[in-house]
Amino acid sequence: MSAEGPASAPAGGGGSAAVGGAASAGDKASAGGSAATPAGGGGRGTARRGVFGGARRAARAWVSFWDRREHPASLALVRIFVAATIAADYAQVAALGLVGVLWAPAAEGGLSAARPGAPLCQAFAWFGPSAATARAVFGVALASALCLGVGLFSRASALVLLLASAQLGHILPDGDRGIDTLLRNALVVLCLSPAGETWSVDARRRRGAWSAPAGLLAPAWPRYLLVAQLVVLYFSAGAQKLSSPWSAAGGYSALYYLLNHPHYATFDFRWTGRVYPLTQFGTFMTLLFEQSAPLVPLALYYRATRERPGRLRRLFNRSRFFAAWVFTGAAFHLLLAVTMNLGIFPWGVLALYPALFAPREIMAFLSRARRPLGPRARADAGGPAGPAASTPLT
Amino acid sequence: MSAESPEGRGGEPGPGASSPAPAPGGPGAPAAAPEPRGQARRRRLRVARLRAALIALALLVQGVAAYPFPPLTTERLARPDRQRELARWSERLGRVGLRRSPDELAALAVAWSGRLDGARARALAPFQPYFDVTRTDQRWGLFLEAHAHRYRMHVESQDASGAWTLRYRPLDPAARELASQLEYRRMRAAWNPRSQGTREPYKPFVSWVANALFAREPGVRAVRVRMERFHIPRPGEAPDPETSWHFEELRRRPRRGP
Repeated sequence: MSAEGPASAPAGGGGSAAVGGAASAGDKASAGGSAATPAGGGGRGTARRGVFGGARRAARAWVSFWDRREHPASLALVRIFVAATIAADYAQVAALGLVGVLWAPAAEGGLSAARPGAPLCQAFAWFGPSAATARAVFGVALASALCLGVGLFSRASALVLLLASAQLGHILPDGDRGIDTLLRNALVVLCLSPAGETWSVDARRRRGAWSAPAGLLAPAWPRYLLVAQLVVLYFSAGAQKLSSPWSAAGGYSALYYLLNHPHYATFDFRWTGRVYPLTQFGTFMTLLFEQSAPLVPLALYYRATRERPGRLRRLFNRSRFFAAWVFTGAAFHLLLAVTMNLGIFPWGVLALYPALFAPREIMAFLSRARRPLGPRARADAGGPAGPAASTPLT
Repeated sequence: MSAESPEGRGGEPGPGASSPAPAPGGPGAPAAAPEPRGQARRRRLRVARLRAALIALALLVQGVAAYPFPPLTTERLARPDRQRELARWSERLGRVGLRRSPDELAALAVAWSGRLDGARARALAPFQPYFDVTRTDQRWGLFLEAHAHRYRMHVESQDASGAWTLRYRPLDPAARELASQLEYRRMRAAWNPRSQGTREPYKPFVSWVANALFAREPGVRAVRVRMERFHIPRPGEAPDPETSWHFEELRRRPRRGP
């Protein structure tokens, strides 16, 4: 599946990248303004008009960009994967019999520091800090994760899950890991998004079919925000890796040390000493992957506007930077899942990866995957060509 | 912000469109649907502008929240590994003409990280209720602590004779008591020490382990949890066989009342 950038069907009619007809009118005004300002024209007033005209055009482009529409397939996949990851995590807690241990107050045999004078969270403040309240919050969180996964009251389920997960995080802050924070950030976006418009009970209730029509258009901005979230996650993580094991001065030894950390390793990795250069290469690649994340939006844009001229655009597209970046990321997380006992961390991050792909690509991929199942399955996936073709940015 | 059918928006290729959408306004562009009425168009534009403004605000706030460096303290920088880092940075800066001793660098780092973190906190203060309710953040420190010195937890039980038996130790196939619970990620967070020491739930965690073992085996008189600090040698590096014990916690079986 090749990637297509954040270029989607614009909201305006007739394929014009504008916010409805009104924005089209605005664009015309903008164009008129530009025409009235001769390039390199003299006079302070002209220059000022040029600056303001440029700012106006930038503002219109900004409004237009965030008003773009596309099929909700990518967001639906993120919804399903995020919910499945969270539900699997909660199911594991329940299966291990750890609900009361993790979130009950210490006075009742749990690990939480909550007590009547310091309830730590709203649920404990309202209903009292007890194992029963903790179990109720956990039950709400698990039920809402399941509802979100099947797309039943998708937005409400995402909101309830977000709040319940946050309450559990407040009850035991040390047990609330980075991946929980990341998934809550995704839930904020999901509860504002049309992620429940397809492959959901909601879609079945509204339209009588599990899948949305291939031509359905919904706001694309939640997907763009999820792309931004992934970029911030990786770049922030890369920027903080300043200690010597992550650098040439420390011999790029970080991965070797992490694999030999007994609290995280899934196996005894002392043998990695024999393939030490491989671990050094892995450390270097991890850094390169994380610190190159800010280039991803640019790569997506260049892919979506590949017909335009530009040396840098050609370089990005020919080097297949985006495909290499996504492949490296997926491989990185899958290797983490095999080598380190990190729970849902690798799966939780991978759950956001469908946001990197335009719905058309996802539908095309599903259509190819379903080809052996016959024409009906292909039609369910959005037809042979998937939903409406994305158009380049203006 | 509900999904809209192409019929409602006009101009989008319908289901099954197999060719790429034509360039906006270019030859072969699909015919535009009748334009909405002026009032509806203005309302839609207002909504789009409001949305774009809110997204700009959200990106700005999250961008400030993403400032990645937590405040440094003199105590944190006094640790041997941090001292080595300071010496390394002092040497690096010296090479480009910025001569600062490790102590000067530490003082600068503490002062500036405090100022920047304070500025971040002040900028985010109006939005703090949102971050509190959703418990979200944008500081992502993934696998920062990659060092040669590590801890390994030991869970031991004592029987009536006073002998101690190892019950759990990571990666030890002979000591796997309670392993599935102890190795679950949230549980590990309760016992896995940070560079600054143990976390708040460590003591309740030890009590839970002890109670679990007391309940399973009536012969267990006491349970001890402690961390063995050891050195991971790099290939070609002389191994440091010396280990030390830290964060020891002991729980004795409660005596039964009369």
